[in-house]
Amino acid sequence: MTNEKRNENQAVTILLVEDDPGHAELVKLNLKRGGIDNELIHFENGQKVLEFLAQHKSDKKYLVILDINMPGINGLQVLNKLKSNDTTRNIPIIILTTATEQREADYCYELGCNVFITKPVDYETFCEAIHELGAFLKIAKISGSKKSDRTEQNQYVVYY
Amino acid sequence: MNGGNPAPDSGRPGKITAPLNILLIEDNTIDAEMVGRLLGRQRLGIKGSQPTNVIHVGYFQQGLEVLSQNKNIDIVILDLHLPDGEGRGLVQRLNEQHSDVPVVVMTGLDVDESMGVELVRQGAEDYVSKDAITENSLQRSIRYAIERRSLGNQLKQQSEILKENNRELESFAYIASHDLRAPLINIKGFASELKHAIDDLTPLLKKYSDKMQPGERASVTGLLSKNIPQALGFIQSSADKMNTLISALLQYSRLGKRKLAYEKIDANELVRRCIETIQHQIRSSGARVIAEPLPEIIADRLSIEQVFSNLLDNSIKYLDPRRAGEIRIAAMEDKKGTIFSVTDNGVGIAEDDAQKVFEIFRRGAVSAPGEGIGLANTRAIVRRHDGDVWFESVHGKGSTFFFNIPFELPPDKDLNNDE
Repeated sequence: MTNEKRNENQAVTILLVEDDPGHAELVKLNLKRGGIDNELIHFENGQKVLEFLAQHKSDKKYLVILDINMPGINGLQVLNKLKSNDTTRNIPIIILTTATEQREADYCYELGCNVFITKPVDYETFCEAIHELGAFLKIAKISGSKKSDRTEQNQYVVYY
Repeated sequence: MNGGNPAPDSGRPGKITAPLNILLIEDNTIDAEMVGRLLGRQRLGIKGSQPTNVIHVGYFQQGLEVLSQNKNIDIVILDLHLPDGEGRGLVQRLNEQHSDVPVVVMTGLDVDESMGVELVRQGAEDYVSKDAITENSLQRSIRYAIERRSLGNQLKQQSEILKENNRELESFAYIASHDLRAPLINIKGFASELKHAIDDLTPLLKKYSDKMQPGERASVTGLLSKNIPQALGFIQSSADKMNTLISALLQYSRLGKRKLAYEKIDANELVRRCIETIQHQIRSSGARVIAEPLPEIIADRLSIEQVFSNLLDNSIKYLDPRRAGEIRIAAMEDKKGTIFSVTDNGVGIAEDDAQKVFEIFRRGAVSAPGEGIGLANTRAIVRRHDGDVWFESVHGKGSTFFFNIPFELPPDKDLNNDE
């Protein structure tokens, strides 16, 4: 991928919400392989990502990758909370789940998720989806916001 | 659910010494006295072992009150002409509120057979005509009514337990499928990571291979190009296979959850569509599929489509490559419903396999692609329609699979006529 495209997406911080450490690692490895080296923060449950977003109301752009089946606050509840809150409503959300029921996918889209992907993941499609959402964010950002100058590589911050 | 409520055990002849509590709801004092006399004079049960205790009220409402307060009532004898209520509806009302107490209806009218059947349908265990009442007939009615209701209650409890078990099983399959899939994703994902690692490692090793002993080089090359990829290949394909099985298990567990929408279905049209859907498969098998004229049925469309698809799919899979395949779909009717049949001239079912045909994940000895849930699904679907599925087969000659769909809807179902 071109440097230009990489820089466009650079501004976006990926919030990965996933309770299974193996799944989280696979997502990270495959994002990297797909050329997506944005800052990524891993949360091991729904509660933690909600707390993080409540404290970080900056102009920073986020993209949430959200597992559904998690102990405590599950992904559907997180999705619902984020979409019913004005400050987090516009954060794009990719649902990543073992559920294969059409009903569940329909429900997630109804709640406002952008992409619904089932595990095991086809990472090519997955990375494309992220690029698209990242590009979309970039366009949405044009009105007045500044470009991030972050250039560090793959900064993974893991909250356990 | 009232599962803990024991069946009235005082109805078991020969075992019990506690008095039999009879509630008599009868406004006519002369009739009431007659019954009291008949019951009091001769003791009920076997060889007069059981004393009786008759509680007599003149109003229906009083009867309900007694039943609410006194949980030891073993049986109700009910007149259908009371000052505060008339007719068969009384039986129903008693049953709704006190389903565990049997009711014997006593009526002055000549009760004809059809009226009697109707009363039983409303929930009465039996009926006796005042004109024809004798000590013996009344005793017998009472004893049998109690026994029948006790068996009925046991049956009801068992069916509740069964339903509960089924629900548990369904949610078990659902949860297991999800939880089984999570580790599988790691196995599959990290196997693929190892594959990537080898791809990165191979050129590096090639670069330094001239620094190795020839024996070492051969060994490392063998490991990297053959042994490890082969092992990973097995891990990957097994994980894929496992994933398919889990999907199948999920699909199977979902069957019981979907609400069925009963409607009138033209089976000709439905079968034609099923055949069209698998046209490609049929053509490549070279088989001829013949559908005889089929009747209309009342069923859930999606379910029946699935059943026919599964049966056709199965027939095609197990055709005998040594002869031209022929599959015939037909129907006949018996007293209870429509019996459909799908007949093929395929390899047939070996006797050893016959018992396992409808079990989940079982497949015929002749290997055929699939997950092994088609017939398990078929059986589950047909049974939800209160029907059943069975087969006749001659090994080496072919099989016929039958399934029946009753004319009558299952009791708690409605016909959705919103088309």
